[in-house]
Amino acid sequence: MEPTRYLLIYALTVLLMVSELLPLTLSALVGAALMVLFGVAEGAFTYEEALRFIDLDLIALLVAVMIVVEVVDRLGTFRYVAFNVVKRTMGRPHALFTALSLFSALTSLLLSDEAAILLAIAIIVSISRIGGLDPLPLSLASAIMVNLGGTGSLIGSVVNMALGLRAGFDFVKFASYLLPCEFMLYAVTMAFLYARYRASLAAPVMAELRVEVSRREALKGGLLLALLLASLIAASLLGFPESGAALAAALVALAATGWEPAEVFRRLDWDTVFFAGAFTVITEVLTRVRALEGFAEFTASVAGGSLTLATIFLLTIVTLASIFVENLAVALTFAPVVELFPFPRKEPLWAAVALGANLGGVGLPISSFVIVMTLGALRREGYNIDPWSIVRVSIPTTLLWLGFSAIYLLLRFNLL
Amino acid sequence: MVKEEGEKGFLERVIERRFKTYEEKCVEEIEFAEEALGKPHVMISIALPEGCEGLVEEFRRLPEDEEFINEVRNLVRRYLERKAAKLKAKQG
Repeated sequence: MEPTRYLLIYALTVLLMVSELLPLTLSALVGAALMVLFGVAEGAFTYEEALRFIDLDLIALLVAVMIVVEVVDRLGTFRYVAFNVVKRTMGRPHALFTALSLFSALTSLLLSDEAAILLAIAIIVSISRIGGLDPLPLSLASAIMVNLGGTGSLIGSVVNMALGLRAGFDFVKFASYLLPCEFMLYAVTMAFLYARYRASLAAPVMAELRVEVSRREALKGGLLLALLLASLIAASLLGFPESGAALAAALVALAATGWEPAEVFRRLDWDTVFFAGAFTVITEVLTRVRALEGFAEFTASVAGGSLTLATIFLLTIVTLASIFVENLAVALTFAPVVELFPFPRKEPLWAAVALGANLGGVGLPISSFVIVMTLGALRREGYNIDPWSIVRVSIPTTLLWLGFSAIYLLLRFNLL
Repeated sequence: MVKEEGEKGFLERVIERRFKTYEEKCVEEIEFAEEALGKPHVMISIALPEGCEGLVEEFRRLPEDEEFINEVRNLVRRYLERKAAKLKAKQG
């Protein structure tokens, strides 16, 4: 087996993704298909084995969480909270800025980044129009906080699900490793963004909210979210698979609303599901043909056998890679590399990859769909913002995160 | 700085293309938020005017034409201001 051709297919896939020649998911599917084609033709594995390369545990957890969140979203829970945040901070620009940023981060801790930023942007565009405000400070702060939100929870992002399952971190363990870092980064980021935008903040005084989201429905959604979290915590304590617990919560969510399941399924993010499935095949093939061993050995040699250096090196390289390449692809590529590292203690390495992949997302305007959605939505609403202008905020934010995350990892895992 | 349609850079084109996937959901969410936050808006359906049959493509692109939208916005404002002035004169 010659790993070079598989590495070339991998490089081609990444090139297709970065150059935008093909949509992200199609690029991953093409890469996976080529790898399987060559692998089966070469006798590296059979087609049946290749089908098992798809990480069904990840797909099950991803789809189950998406179902619960979609149901909760449709019940209006997040809108209810969001509109109340706006209502309570009317006319107080600094309070609105802080509350909306924190709301964005906390919703994305549970809700998908896509749904969280949609909600935040919709509110910001609306209040900006009403009050004639510049929407950029609020929207960029929310986008950055959405990107940060979810870093510390197993279900906070697809990256976390993929890494957590692979590392064998249950919901509680994942949170114990990364949630303190997320909260610390909230404080640091809020302080930075506040200092950056303090002078240009404003908040309109609006009419009373006209559409009341049903409090009862919103509460129902809140209970379903609590059920999901309780199931995941119970699964951690009882040693039950997280995906099974999440699927059970998804079933309850579907049954509790009485909606047609097809309506809910139609709105799930199938693009991400297919991307995750295809990229797990790519990385499994790379592992099978031993294409990543060289990189793992190189990294270990650069670190000189030091777990501390390897952790900081991984954090830096994964963050930088995630600025340019889809962060799920980066995380899935580095997961087998971590497994190949010759260190008996791998928790700091997994945490470094998770932090790097989550935090690299705001480096450039096209690093993550959260920023793309923010700029796209503002553009659509008639606010023409030069994408490069946000780099003045996004790059310092990424560097700040990188520095603080490195300090956190050193202290949390006693690496000093 | 605002750029003209023809001057779009790589970044703008990528953002526009990627955003298309989320556009529908985004518009839906913004409409809901605007209604909730008290900003009234109207939707008007306009058919292709007679004599413009050769401009179907241009006509279809109007909802994304910022210059056109600004003109319509100004037209609405002027019209409403005129209407308000007339009402005031009648009442006065």
